[in-house]
Amino acid sequence: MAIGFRKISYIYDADMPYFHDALKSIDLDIREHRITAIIGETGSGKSTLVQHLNALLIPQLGHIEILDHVIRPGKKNRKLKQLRKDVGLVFQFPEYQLFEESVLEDAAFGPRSFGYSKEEALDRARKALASVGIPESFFDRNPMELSGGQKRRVAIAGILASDPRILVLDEPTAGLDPDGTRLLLDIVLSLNREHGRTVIIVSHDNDMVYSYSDDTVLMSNGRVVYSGDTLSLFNNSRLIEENHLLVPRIVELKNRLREAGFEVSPSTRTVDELAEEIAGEIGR
Amino acid sequence: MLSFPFYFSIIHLMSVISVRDLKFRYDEKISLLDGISFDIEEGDYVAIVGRNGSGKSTLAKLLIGLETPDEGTITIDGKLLDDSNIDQIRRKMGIVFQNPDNQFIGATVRDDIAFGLENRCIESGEMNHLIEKYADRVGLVKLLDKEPEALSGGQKQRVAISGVLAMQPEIIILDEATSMLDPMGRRTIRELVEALHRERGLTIISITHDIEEAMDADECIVLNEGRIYAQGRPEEVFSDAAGIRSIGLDIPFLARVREAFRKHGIELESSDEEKMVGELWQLASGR
Amino acid sequence: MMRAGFGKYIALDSPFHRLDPRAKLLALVILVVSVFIPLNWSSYFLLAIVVFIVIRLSYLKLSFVLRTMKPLLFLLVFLFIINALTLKRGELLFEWRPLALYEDAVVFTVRIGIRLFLMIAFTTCLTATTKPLDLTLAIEYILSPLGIIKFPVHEVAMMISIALRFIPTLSSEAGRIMNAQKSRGVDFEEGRLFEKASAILSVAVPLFTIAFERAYQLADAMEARGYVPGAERTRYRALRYRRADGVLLSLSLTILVLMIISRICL
Repeated sequence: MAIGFRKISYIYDADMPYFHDALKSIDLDIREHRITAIIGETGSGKSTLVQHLNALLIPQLGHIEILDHVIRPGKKNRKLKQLRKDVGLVFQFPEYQLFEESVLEDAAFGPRSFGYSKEEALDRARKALASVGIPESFFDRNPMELSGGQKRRVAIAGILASDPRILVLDEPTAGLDPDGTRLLLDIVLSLNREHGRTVIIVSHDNDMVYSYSDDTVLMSNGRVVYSGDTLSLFNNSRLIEENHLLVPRIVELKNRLREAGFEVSPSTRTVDELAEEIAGEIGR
Repeated sequence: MLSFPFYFSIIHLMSVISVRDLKFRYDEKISLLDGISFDIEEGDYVAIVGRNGSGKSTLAKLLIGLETPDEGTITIDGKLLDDSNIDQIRRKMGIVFQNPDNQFIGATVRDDIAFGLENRCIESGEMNHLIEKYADRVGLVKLLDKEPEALSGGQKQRVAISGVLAMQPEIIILDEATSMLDPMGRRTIRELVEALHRERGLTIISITHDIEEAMDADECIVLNEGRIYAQGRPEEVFSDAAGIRSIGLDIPFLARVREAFRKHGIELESSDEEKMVGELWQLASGR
Repeated sequence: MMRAGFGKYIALDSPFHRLDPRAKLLALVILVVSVFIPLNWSSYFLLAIVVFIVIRLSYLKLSFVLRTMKPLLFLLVFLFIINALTLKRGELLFEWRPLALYEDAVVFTVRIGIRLFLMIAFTTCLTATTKPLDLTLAIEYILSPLGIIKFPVHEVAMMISIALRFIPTLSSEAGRIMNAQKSRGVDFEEGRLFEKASAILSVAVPLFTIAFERAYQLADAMEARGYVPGAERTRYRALRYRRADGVLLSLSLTILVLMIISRICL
């Protein structure tokens, strides 16, 4: 198990009359080497949960096991820096965190903060930038000169440069055009499939979740309503209805085909797979 | 036989927006728009699509006069757009920008909708009526006294639309108004825009890279590298899957479905999901 | 919820909250001037009564107002020490060789203390009962005659009100950027000077970038919506004088006059 939440509760403004209990005794396991999506309405507790992954927030109750760290309530948690290196958290619109004078320096900032020497940091930065498709000619440029999609990839490189074992991405494709989206998701996919990194994606885009994630965690009102296989979640009409989930287009089509009398396998994920299946049935 | 210039000038008179040979350079090396010409009829819902960098956002700014073209002309409602009449012409147009926060000027929803009215020197007493009316049209009456920090992106964009409607324009430009929103927010805005188009016969120009949104429009203009790549009804324009993909866009979901079935020798004609399923069933039971 | 905060607006519905911000602002100026005129204790007593009445009419807690004075206490102690060492007139009150405390030093310090207390109390009542935006409107209105010397009063007021609107937005953006940089290993609490400077830059530079981009986009939006700096425009939030405002102003002026008289005659 990469991550284990054990009876985690978190309350915002606990000592105020207007406190808000964002996480209510959460028990959750996230598997290593998989792509796990975290979905849920705004206010369901997704971002609160995610901020516990690298100890930006510390729970008031319960404890969290992340790789070989254990986070407990109180101020005694040590070695948080190491945790933040192991769990790379990429926020929404990460291009806003760029601030150094050159693309290379900014990508090297993370490794520097985590204690690598200047040479090592720059070397790691170069490799990370290459892995996200940023050409060398860009390395000396001011980050602000780049396009939105390029800046985003530089920001992600900045997190990858510290070689995190777990990568967490909050709405990674927000605001990107189709090309940018495709590029980014290819990068994420290769990080998981080729390098075995555990990837966690927080998203509202259920089409993307259905196509790319192995597991899904569905949150509602501070609780985990579902945690498991992605396909099973979106084939479960009760859960979809109860949680007002936006159904991925392919699932909608599959449902219609089923209603019309076709036999559709629950594990069909892409349009091509679906066409092949249906064409096969028609041929018979 | 009447001459071509005569017909040309007639079309010119009928279109509410006419763009001819528009060119705009960022600097000597980079040309954002490289000779664009098109006409938009009154009451049309036109989608202008293209990847980031295709020139579409520049086009939006040129249409509302925030930038001046290096070459070419823009004619709105028969009047040639230039510095002298820009304020007049702007009265007929409203624009909603991409970033929900960076166009929200007022301290509350009310104050923001009022901003445009204040600029038009509407009397204070009349303003309240307009504000309530147009807040109601976009479903925000309960949020009138909220501050922007308390609103979601979709709600803020609805405030922007409400502010635009309150000025009673003939033309509404949406400059990637949904690209920073989540799917729920995008859907709300799309439905609102479609409804407004139906009810009021407004001319709507939607600049977007969201292909499903472009399918809502009557007509689609596809830009690539500062030029028009294709123009026509959305179904026609997006039927050229390879071409559309080559310029960095995607084709609509149903077009992808059709393409996938084509690979297996099945040609589907319907443009609607329900009918498509029906077609497939026909094929299955026909054997 | 009434945390001490000099300048913080407290949302209540008191008679004072309902007064016109212009009247309140003018009254404040008049009353603050009045505080600095008289020299005798009975005048200060009268002013103190006025302050207490205003505090009650604003539905504020006395403890809240007193808490805004806390930073003052330190200043007063410091002032007292200086005065004790320099003012050597009046009756000798206390001696502890080689130091000697004279009457004047005590009187002078107490007088300054009272004046500062009154001034801050009056100002706190203004800021606690008036929304920043309303205050901006009031300032704009009062300064509008400056338009004669071509000072862009309305444009400045517009800029201030937009800045106010964005304070909470920038604040939450700063928080988000801090979280993003913490996730990159930045430690905002510990570290040597160089690291601390780097930490601050990692938040400041993005904030500035966001602010500039925002400024450009806002300018476009404002222009597209027909805003022309310097042109005439109407106001949605119209300020209207009511009788109570007139009463406030007349009372303030009365107090001013009384203080002038007390200074001259006593």
